[in-house]
Amino acid sequence: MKINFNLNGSDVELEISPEQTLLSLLRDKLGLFGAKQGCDVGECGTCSVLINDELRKSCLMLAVQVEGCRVVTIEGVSSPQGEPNDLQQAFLDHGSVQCGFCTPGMVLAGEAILKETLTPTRTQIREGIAGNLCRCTGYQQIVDAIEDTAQQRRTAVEEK
Amino acid sequence: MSNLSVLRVKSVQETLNLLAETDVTSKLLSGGVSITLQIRNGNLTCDRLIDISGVEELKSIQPVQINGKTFYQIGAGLSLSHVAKNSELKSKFPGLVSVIKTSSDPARLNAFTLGGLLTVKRNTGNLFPALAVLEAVIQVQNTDGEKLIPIMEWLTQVKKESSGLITAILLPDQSQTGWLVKEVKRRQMPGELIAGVVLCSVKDQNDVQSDLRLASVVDQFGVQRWTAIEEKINQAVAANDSFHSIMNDFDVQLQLRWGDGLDAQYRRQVLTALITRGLQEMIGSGEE
Repeated sequence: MKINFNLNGSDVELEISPEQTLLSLLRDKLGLFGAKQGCDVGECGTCSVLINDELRKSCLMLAVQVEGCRVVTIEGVSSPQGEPNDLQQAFLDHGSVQCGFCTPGMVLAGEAILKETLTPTRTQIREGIAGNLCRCTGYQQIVDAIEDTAQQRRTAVEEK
Repeated sequence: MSNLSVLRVKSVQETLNLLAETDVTSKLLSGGVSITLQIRNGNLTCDRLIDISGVEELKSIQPVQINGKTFYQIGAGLSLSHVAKNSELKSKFPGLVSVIKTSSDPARLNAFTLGGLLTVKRNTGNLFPALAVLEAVIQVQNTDGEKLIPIMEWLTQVKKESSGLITAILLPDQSQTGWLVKEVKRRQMPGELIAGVVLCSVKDQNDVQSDLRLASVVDQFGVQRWTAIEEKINQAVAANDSFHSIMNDFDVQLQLRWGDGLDAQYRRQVLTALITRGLQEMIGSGEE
């Protein structure tokens, strides 16, 4: 069956199988390997994507469900030239990346938090990344990076 | 090539008509979590999926009058995160909203729909106990008409999945009576509980509590509303008595009901401790 959706800013029309998960579509058909295949049952969050600005786990949804939606993967977060955006840069600056396996999901969870509010508390940030597991960093640096980016974006808004 | 097909519907009536067709088996696709897991596990047994995510009738939140009583009707197609963000529900049912917000992680709160969880009877966090103490009613439609089924009756029906379409969850309007909802739980993973307890009661202007209600979820023992113990505790509260002897009796009853295996013993201890803690926080130490 055919589906139409917007992927990282571009409209796409694809032939899919009804049983195909969104994660499989992204990785196996479209070659977007930023969303990782981790636990495959929605526990780890490495497959996180944004659907209409909401955080979703692409292993826990069918590709057919994104018909008409805006889908953003980690590949759609960076600039067209491939430069990291401010949140990705903050992850680098704060040492929030160690093995890197959770990072795409963490960045997208961070983006989802920052779409809701630019004044998140550290508790809100921790709640926002509660579905994304990191076995390396202890989360502190990730929270720091998201908090720092919120501050930068707030300043940018205030300066406008 | 797969034989599974997906039909997108726009109305409740269209959904009911498709569900009534007997020559093909259908399942409903809303948030997609349960269906995706069934496909992965190889146990999806149907010819087609009916995608109800575009049915706007299933996404409203409004007060309704039924038999002279006011209920809040929450559309079954709403995700848990949408329910938790609704300003009217935040003010009318703050306890429920708080339970929902901590019932899972953000991505799954965006995916889970109330109707989906109730259709497959899959609890998350303390959601079902909270609906039980608030005496929620499930609104189910099929081609024969509409049925209103109390939540505990729905959850204890033997059939795992019911035919028909859950269109809404009705919550009796309790906003005028000073309801308190207290959640206590013991976590395994986010949203997955060994045991959870939700208590609620009415607190009047003089801080006197009455109509205490109690429900729990214990992983392999399911969701329970403890009406017998509620009655005894309400009597103890009214008489200003200790509730500790009631909890001892409760512990014995659980032992009879669940058996004495190691798992059951552990869960009995956890549940009894959680209820005791909840009662202490809610109505005081329980000491005379």
